[in-house]
Amino acid sequence: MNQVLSRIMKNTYRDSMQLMQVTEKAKKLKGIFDAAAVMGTENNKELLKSINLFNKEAEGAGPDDILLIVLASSKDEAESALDEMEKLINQGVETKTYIDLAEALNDNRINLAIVSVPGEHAKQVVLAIMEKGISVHLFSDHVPLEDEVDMKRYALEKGVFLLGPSAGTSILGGKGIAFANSVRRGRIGIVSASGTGLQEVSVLVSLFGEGISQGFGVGGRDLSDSCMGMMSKYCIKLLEEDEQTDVICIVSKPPGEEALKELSRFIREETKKEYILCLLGSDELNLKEKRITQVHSLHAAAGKSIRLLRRDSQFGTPFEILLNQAKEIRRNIASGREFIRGLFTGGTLAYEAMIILHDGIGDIYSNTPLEEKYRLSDPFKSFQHTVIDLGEEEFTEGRLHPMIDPTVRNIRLKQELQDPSVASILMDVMLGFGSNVDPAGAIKDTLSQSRDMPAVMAHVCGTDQDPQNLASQVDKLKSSGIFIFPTNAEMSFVAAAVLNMDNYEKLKMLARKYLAV
Amino acid sequence: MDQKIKELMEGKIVAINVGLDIFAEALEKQGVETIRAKFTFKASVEKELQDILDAIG
Repeated sequence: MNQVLSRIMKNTYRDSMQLMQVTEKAKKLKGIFDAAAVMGTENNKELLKSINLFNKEAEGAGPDDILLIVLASSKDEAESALDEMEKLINQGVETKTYIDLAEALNDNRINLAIVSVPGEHAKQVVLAIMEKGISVHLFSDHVPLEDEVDMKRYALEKGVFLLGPSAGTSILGGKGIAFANSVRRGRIGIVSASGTGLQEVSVLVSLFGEGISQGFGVGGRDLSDSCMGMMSKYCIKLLEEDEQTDVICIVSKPPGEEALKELSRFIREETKKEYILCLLGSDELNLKEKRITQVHSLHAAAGKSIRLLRRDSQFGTPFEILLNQAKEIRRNIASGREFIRGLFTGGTLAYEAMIILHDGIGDIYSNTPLEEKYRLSDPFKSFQHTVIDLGEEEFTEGRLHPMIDPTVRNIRLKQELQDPSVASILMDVMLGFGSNVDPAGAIKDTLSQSRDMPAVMAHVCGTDQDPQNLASQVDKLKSSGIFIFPTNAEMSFVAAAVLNMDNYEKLKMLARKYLAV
Repeated sequence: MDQKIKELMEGKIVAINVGLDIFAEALEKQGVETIRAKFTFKASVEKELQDILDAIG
């Protein structure tokens, strides 16, 4: 008979990466159906309860303890797996050499620092680094806004850049920084306030035969009225000077009102190259100059950027083909299934899906809603049409980001698969450096346990040169019956069309706004 | 353009990583020389004590 057994390692800490590795190894042990090694935070315990991987003893685990738990076919196999997990944790990990920061900074060859310390300590570290004339990519989040403003002012004084905070991705001279994909080099420069936005645009540009000169991830608040686009303008200047760059693409959620006025003035008056402005969710701007084009999706940002370099380029799937795909998907959805569930690891891809779905089918509930009235009362439970950004704090406390550790999405995917009101599930699959080694495999394993499924759709953001390899990840998903889309916007459009097949005019308008290049 | 910025834009990167090791590994996979650094945070109480000690001389 199946057994859930747990063990608590009191006052023991391992980081999320080590715990994820132990979890993955435990799941492959003989007789084990499911397993987890987590810190005993309330959040983690709630997640385990939601998938019935929990027992009374596990309740005793506290936030300073490691909780090991397994679902096994017998008590002996459960005990043996827990022994193995405890052994793996006690073995620790390979030790690497770490040099004290102050000492390391004496090496005057260093020109870039990647900083991912807790946000409250970021300023202390970043100022010490920039003082030496070194540019910084700051991954940390929860950095106080006033610290960001101070650090960016100091960066400008020192003539260095500060990418971030919360910078998920940059591409410098062909090298991917943090979560980046292996893309072609070329003549399109990107300044992005969003990590996954930069990934999506750079990947699409690369897949359609052009390339990226530089990709600067300036952080989600750079175009707020507090930061006033300080770093965006600095990076734009660098791209204006860069002989390898012909087209400059700006990617952001809606900027602050004053920041937008200043950005528009700056581009109009102080630049000369061609610009694509992708300010997701923003109203139409009065841009006055032909060399500045506004677009409303990451898909269109990539497509228009390419078209500026190659007028005859083919980009995107024709409208009628997308409609036929929607019809085919609709045919296989059982009656009574009427809601969409989006489970995204990339915040900006979730946002792009929400704006398209909102225009296509109406109210979309979320933990990061377009309007406050659509905020989910409980982010762990979907309501009607729901899009979830799984990279938000409530899902990442005491855990790795879902682009690295697929556990949280798999748990949510299982829940959505069991909901008979769900028509379609939408997911992003992010490849590249830093991401999970096999995100498609994780989804496939979860789907294999399910019968009578809704339509499952995925967009894989990656290239064949990425460590995970685009083609093999796509094959794996297709073999599980998942519909694959080349862009996040096309997936979102088709999901809307599936539920709104009869409204041809509306779908035509949606395609014109978000997919036309 | 500053020399160090120019080097970065040419992909001639020598990096220092402070924090999550996956980012150092990602750079190394791309052939970027990466130094792993550790940083000891001064607790604010310690800093206040240090300021008092400094003031006393």
